Amino acid sequence: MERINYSFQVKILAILVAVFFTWQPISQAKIRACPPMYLRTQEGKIINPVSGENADRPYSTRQTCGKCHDYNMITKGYHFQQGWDRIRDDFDKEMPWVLSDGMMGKQ
Amino acid sequence: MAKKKNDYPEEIDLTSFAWVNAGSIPQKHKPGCGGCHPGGGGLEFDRDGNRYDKYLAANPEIRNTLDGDYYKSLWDKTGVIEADCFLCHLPGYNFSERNHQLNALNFRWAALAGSGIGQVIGSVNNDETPRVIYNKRLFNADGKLVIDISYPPKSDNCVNCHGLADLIKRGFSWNDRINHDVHNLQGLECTHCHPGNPEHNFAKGDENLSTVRDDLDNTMLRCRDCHYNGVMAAPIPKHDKVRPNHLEKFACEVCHIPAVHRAAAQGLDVSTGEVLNYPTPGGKKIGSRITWRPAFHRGEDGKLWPVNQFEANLYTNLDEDGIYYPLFAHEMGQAYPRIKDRLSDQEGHPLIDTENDILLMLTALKETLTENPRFETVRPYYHMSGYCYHLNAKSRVVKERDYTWVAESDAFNISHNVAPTRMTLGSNGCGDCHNENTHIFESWIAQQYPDGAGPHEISPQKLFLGKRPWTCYLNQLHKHNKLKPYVITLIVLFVFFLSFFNSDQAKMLKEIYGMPRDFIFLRIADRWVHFFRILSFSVLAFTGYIFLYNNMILLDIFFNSLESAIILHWGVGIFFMAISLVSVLLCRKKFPPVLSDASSFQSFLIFKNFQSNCRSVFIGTTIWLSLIMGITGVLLIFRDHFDAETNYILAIIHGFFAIIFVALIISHICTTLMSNPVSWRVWMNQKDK
Repeated sequence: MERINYSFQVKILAILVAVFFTWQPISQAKIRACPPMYLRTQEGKIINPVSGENADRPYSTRQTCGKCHDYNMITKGYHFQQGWDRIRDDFDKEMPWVLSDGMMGKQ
Repeated sequence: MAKKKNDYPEEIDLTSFAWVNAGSIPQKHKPGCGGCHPGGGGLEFDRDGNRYDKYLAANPEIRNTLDGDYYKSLWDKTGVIEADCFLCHLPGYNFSERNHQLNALNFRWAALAGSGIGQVIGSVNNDETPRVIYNKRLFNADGKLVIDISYPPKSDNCVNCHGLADLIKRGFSWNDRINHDVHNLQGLECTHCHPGNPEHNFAKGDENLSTVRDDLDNTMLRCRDCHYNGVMAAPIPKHDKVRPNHLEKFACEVCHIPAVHRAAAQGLDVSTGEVLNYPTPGGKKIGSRITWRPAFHRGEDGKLWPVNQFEANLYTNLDEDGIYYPLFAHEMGQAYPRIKDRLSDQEGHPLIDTENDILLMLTALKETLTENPRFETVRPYYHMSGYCYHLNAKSRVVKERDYTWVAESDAFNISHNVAPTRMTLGSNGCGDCHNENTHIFESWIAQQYPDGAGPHEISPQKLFLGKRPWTCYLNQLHKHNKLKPYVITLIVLFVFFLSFFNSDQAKMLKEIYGMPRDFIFLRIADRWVHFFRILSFSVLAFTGYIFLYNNMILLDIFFNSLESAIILHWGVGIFFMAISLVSVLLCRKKFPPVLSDASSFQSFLIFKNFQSNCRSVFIGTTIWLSLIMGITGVLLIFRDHFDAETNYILAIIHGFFAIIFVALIISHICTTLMSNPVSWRVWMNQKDK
């Protein structure tokens, strides 16, 4: 009685299984916008919760994100200023309660 | 917001410190002002550019001065609110937790708690120093944070703030299965239409009432930017069933946002000293499920825009300098409890709306403001629905039309929740709007007249046509699709039979055979002129028919676009005028009575003695009609230079006399061809057989 050789089918099946399990991660893989980074206190010191270094301090976005990004430039945007960069006591003499043309500076 | 320099405590409504949590209602998860302001700017630095926490720590006495940034503040304990990058860039950001921390005065810790990178225990508000417990599973073994930042931000992050604000003001929402939007369903994110630049300024539209960074107005992608150019594979609509003037007069949103499905804020009541928004009628609360249709507002571009007409009442004090100063919330809050139990309706909107309630509130305000050093004179005013109310010398309520700055109409744009094409206004034909009692003609909102008067309720026709009612009626007659076919048919039949039966066929036949030969037998020039007049008239009548009945099927068959049909109509109209002039010059000698005899003119004008003068009258009439059509037609070519009222009158005249002209020509053809079959051969071949 001749024995059936399943080796070829097994190989194909193995390849398919491998493709199935690897395809999903490959298709979903993406580049992170930010690489792993240290959090930093407002004085710029590293926060390391694993080692316990400054682990009781809140992080500062100015120091943490500002390491790579221009925090001062970004915060000039109107979402952050909302008129604060133009606020002054005599902004509108006809409506003295209006201090800026943004949302910060109105009654 | 208080000024930086103040002379007495009553001047200070909100310092920049108090402002952070102003308006917050933790029980309802409603954030204060600082909840949606992402930090940085006025939440980090004072008006002199000093960082609040450091400056106050170095100058603790300043909290006891009347400085608008530091008065009674705790910046040195709360810390400042730096720009929270994760608020926008971290999917799943916990906005509620951020606001919880702000309410606890844990300003410095709010970003940490909101991001979920750690937990915060304790509250500055309870005079504690908050503790931090970081979530170690988010960190590598070397202590570096590994976190997925979204670039550009996801819409879910935007709607943390904008969803709330837009829902209240406009009723529209995003990522909402009830209040859907075709763009949202196609997977578009906020940043597709509102991209940002490295400075984090985002392309924006032009909200009616907002004055934030007006220099960036209309920098975003509008409907036409994508749908006229196919940007992002946007379908390019033909709008072949829509009259072109509709596209000129209406913003896309008018038809494409026929309804909104969440209750918006219909009004705002400040009488209690708190800002109370009340929902669209029929809605249990703001955001509840209800279908309502926008009102419409004429924008600066002259187009109509869908809006949520918002009614806000306000209290002011008319001071010695003639300025109506808005009262602070706490100033109204001092007066309201005095009269609260005596109000006629405790549940209505707004709370103060009857004359007796207004009298009570104004009297209470007059008493509570008496010692207020903010004002040299105490004259409280109540502003509501285009009127203002104040007390006279006898302490009686005086009602006046509101001419103050308060009277500006509040109408918030509606620009999201775009409906699928099959649900837009007009998808079922013109009757979606041009019908009795359709929403669009019943919902025109009040407009403020240029003289500064308050809002007026005006009818839709008046909005376009001014204040002359007869123009409104004519316009309605001209546009009313239900009546138009019958009216036009009646006019055509009337003119046709008047002309046809008043011409004595037997007599005319006899006259033709008995006429002098120089009249019967046209010269070659006359024949060509007549041919071109008929040809051009036919083109004008055909294109005019398409315009009058908006027959887009014929338009599709014969023309590439409506614009090309219009241009053809203009061009042929001018040609018709020119060829008619040639015709007049050629016929001048043949019909001297028509052109020179006053009695003939009179007979033509009043249709007296029509029968005996039928040929002369016909020619004279066509000359007059050509003149009227030509003048009104040329003026309509330049319609952009006239106001809407003038254009409607011109269009009505043009259309009305066009109908008469067509009827007359039909009658002319019948009398000359059908009734007198030999006449064509006589005229053209110079033979009567």
